[in-house]
Amino acid sequence: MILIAMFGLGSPSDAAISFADGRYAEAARDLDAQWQRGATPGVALARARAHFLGGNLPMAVVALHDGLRLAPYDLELQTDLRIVRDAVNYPEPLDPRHRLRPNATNTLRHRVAPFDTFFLAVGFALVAAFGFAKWYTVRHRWALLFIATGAIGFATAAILFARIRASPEPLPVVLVADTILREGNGHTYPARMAETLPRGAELRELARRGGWLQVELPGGTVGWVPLISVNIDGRKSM
Amino acid sequence: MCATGKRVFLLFVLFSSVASAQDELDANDAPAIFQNREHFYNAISTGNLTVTWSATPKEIAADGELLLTLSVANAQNPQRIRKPNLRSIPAFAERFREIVDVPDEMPNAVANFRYRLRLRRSGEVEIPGLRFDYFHPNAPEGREVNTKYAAAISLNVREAVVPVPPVLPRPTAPERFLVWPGDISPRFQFGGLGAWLGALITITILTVGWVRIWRVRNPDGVRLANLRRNRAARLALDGLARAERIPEPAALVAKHLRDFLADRHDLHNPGTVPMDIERELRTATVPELKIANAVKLFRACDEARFGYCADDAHSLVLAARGIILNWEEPV
Repeated sequence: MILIAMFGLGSPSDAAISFADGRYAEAARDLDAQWQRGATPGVALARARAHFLGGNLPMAVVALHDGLRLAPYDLELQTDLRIVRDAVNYPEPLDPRHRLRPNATNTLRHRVAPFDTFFLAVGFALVAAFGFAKWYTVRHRWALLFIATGAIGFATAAILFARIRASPEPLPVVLVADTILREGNGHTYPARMAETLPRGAELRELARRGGWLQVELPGGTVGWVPLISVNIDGRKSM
Repeated sequence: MCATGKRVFLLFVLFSSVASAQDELDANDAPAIFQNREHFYNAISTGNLTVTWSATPKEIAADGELLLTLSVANAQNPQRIRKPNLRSIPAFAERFREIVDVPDEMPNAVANFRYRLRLRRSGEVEIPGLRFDYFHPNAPEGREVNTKYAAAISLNVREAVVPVPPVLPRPTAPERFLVWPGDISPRFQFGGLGAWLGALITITILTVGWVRIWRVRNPDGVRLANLRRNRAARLALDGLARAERIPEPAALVAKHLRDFLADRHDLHNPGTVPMDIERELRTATVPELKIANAVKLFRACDEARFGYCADDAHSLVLAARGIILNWEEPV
């Protein structure tokens, strides 16, 4: 706790004290409230670890996805998500369409941070400015090369920045209990697949109807799960 | 007269409808006149008919299912007895939230009507008695319909069992999860519109500042920059820079100087001999002093190419550069 005070927060919050004392569920509650007040990647990481250690695997997954939506490039969050996913009891169905294990987080937005592209753009802008100054003063031909390189690099970095920032990935819904995927929105409908969906599995929401949620598995299979078996509420909308 | 006629007509209609209904029934059915009576299900018996309920299981959970069987024995026409509709009987509808007909069993002379039921509540629940009327073919007229009751039976209904999820073992946490993530306070994030604008403004200011400083430190540079804006001068100066790096640049120096003069004064055919160039320049009304300097350099180039000359390559390039740089200056 003293170490946290010295090297961590400056003044240790209630969550940090609870975490250090091993009261993880209490720390998770405090961090959930802190996330609502001010979302940062650090809060998301602490929240996920507290939930995981407190035994709430689905909320740990939710917290990490919340954090990655805020900072998809954060390596700590990505590593923790990989570890938490390994703790989910995913079955290995024979039919690839029934695959439940989610795809790895390795898209462009997970590899490049917006401020990386910002600094890249600034660097290219400086090159273009240098070329322009040289061309304007002494009219050396090589300055044109600098201007062209700088302008192209700046435009590329700006486009990259816009692509990374635009349209973040939708948050998945996470199961809070082992659930049967059904063909329709009712308990009377037959199961879509032999395997049950494990607690902590991540699904893509397609539609809602009458207390049921239509979801798509990472393998592509579509089915229905009851709304009460999915964690949706209590999440901060970003 | 008229009223009597109506009565006759109504009697005719009544008898004809009963007669036509009787035509649709066969010999194993009760007379049509009894068919629409409440609690009558088309059973025929000579008096020893029995009607009983049986339930499986007797003890169930509140959310469980119950299989209820109505057995009608000693009927003369078990295959023709209609199945009672329990959903339309209020005593059943208020006790059971789901009443589903199940395929019946008709072994020998017993009719077994089966239902699958779901209860509305827990505790002591009674399956209500059922009134069952039947037709007695040998009874005196007016007393053909007799009644039997299926006795009510009690059920013991337990509270619904809420499945308790198994206690899951806590996943083993890796070492990194036991570490508090450090600084969780909000941090300044680059990349907003303000940061982009700030960066562009800063770079523009730096560029303009650099140009201003360069001009202060190189007052002659402005003139050079203006001169280089002239395409002919820029090409000639760049050509001379290249000529400086080769061992015998005299021909190249002469060529670039001649191209510059042709471009600058729009000389269509300046020629290659110094005398021709001199004549063309005079035609273009170039000052004599400039013509003399240029012709002198052309001659020096010719001497360097075809005869003995003390000038080295560097002096020729420097002289040509000096002529070009000072060409615009007034004499």
